[in-house]
Amino acid sequence: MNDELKTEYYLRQLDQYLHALPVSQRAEIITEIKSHIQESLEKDEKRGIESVLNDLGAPRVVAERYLLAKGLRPSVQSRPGRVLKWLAIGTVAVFALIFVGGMWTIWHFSPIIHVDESKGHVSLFNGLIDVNEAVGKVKVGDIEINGAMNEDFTNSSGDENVDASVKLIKIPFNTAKLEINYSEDESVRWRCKSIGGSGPKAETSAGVMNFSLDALALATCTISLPKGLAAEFKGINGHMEVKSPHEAMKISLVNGKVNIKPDPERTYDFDVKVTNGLKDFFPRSGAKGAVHVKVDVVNGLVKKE
Amino acid sequence: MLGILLMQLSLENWKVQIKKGYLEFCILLLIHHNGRMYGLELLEKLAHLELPLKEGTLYPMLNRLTEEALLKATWDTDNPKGHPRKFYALTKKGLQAATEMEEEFNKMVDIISTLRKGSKT
Repeated sequence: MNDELKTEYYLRQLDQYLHALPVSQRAEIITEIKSHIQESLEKDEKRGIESVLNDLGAPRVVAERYLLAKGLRPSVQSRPGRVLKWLAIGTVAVFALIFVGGMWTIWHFSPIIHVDESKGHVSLFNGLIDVNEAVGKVKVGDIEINGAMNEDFTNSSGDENVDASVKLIKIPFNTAKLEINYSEDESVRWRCKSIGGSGPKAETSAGVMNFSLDALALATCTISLPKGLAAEFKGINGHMEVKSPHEAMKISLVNGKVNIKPDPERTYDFDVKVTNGLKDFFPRSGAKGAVHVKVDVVNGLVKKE
Repeated sequence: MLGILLMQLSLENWKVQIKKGYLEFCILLLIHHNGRMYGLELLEKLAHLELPLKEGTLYPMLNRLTEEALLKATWDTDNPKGHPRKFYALTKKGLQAATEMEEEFNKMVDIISTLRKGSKT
């Protein structure tokens, strides 16, 4: 079994033991632990995957620490009595067989990353993260980030005045669908649907406006940016629709999809990178005055409309 | 023989307990002095300081400190190696907590120092 399969098996077990947590939190934990495993292997090539996973500890133990840290009680297994103990020993062989069979099934049916270029479909961790272009769907676990909202969501909207000294807006988000466009206004206009939260939090310091959507759970927001303001988006689990970028823009997204509709009147200098996933062709241009758009997506899709 | 072994065990237990108390403080201090740090970086620094911590303990602890709003986490996808890194930085609340912990720690050191001086006289 190779390193990727062993990593996959470990992460899958960890995910199962973390089941009491919301899926977005689970996805974040799994992504961080996966990043740790990859980084540890890269730092010391002689160190094997077994050593890295051993140092992390058994998935059940690690998951229990997460659950305890969040004040949740991990499910306690009853101490086996004598009969149970012998029964357990007797069934070890069966479990070993199931394990081998399970590993074969994982190896055979569910690669850690599945990319179907013809259908624009990217699936990770056996569907935990699923970006499907054909049906316009971004899914993280059981949550679909596709803007289909029910009545439990609260609406909020407003505009945030942008001082002339502000040249950059930073927008961090977690599990959200964002529609970004530009307006003639001198303020940032926004309209959001989310579970709870009173709306985005804006703070300005040293010429940078921090417009945080972190506090909004499962938000769907339309944000109109004023011209002349560069924007930086940083998020985990997202679906972004960007219309006619006017100013320099930087997007960093872990898990999800970015759809860009360039303005035909403008020249763009695209710098698009996708780790684990698919991207359309985005031309680089050294032209003077070109709008610089940098997109960095880990696990997902970057499309051009 | 058994007595010595038991004494060593209880001493080890005491060391574990006392480390638990200031580990969180050390992590906050480390992150504060470095601006922002990611998990593996923290583990390496802690090991260098002879404060080895298991990965499986550190990550849940960072998760809890983030939930308690002492730390703020951001994903950095600029890593040339490809995979993203989750960086942690102190929040205002975290800085305040670290300051209070430092005061408490200094108080304890002062008490020990006073006690030691007292034992000499």
